[in-house]
Amino acid sequence: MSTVATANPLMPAARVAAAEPRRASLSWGTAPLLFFVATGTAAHGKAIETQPPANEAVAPHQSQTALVSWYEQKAQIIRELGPNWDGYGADPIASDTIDNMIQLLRTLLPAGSLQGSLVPAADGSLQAEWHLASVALGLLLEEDKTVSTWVRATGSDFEIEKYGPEALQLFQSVASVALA
Amino acid sequence: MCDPTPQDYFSNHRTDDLGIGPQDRLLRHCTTPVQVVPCPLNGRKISDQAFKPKKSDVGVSVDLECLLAKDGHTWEDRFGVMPNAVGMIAVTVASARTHSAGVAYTPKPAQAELDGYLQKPNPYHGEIILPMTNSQRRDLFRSAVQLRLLAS
Repeated sequence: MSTVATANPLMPAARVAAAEPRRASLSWGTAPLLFFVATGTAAHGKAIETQPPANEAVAPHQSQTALVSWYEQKAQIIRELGPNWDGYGADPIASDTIDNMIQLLRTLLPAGSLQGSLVPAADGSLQAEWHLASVALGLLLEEDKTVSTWVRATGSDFEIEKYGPEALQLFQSVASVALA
Repeated sequence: MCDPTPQDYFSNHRTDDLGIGPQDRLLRHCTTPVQVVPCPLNGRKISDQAFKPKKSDVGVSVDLECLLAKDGHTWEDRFGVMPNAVGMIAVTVASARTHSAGVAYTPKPAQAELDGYLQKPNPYHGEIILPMTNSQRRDLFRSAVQLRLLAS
């Protein structure tokens, strides 16, 4: 499994340049963040290491008055879920799954994007999802770090689903239009 | 038709039970508001994430509505039996069979070693048999009827 010390290679350079000054300083620690983007299965995952950008001032997806983004607020609720939180015996959601989802959303969502939902499941997965008038969009992060995106026109049975890097590209493309 | 054959709740093996008719319905509770999401049609709905079992499970737990009916009960009688219920959805057995490995009747015995509601037996317990891909699960969920969703 290779480790790449870089900005997100899936984000076009122009978008990176536009997004970098707006990144949050809230969750960037002093240590590099490491998360794994799987290409279908965790066994084929690629590690991507990112460094906190310098001179950060404004967090993404926040108003000037808000201190925490919507997904960080919802993530906090999920962190507090205890054993059997779903009534069917579910275990709590792993903190690294929550942290990785926050990092994905911070990287992939356009600034000032529409608020969505962050929904845990009994299998340890976490899904960011939006159900809009014209489209439904989901970013699913499994406990084993497998990431997938699904998109569907509202009311349609036809769904596009991608895994791994393609999932991140698809999510970012749709989000830039539908959620901006 | 409602003549299912009980299968061992603790076994890791399940077989599709044709004694459960295709038009019979399978009921699943949602017991947490964190699985309820905004939607443009009805304002709020249950997320498809509520249709995922634990990784160690071999099926998605449901109640067999036809067995409730045999005992003179309706889904409304069943709603709220699970603590903290916020909603309930139903799918047909036919839809479950289309998107999964089938449907099994697995009556749940009492389990004194567990906590709270999980200790209780459930004679109506069945399962939608795994595996299901994420896409199949969402397709199945889209076929679901939302029977009840409490106001937030």
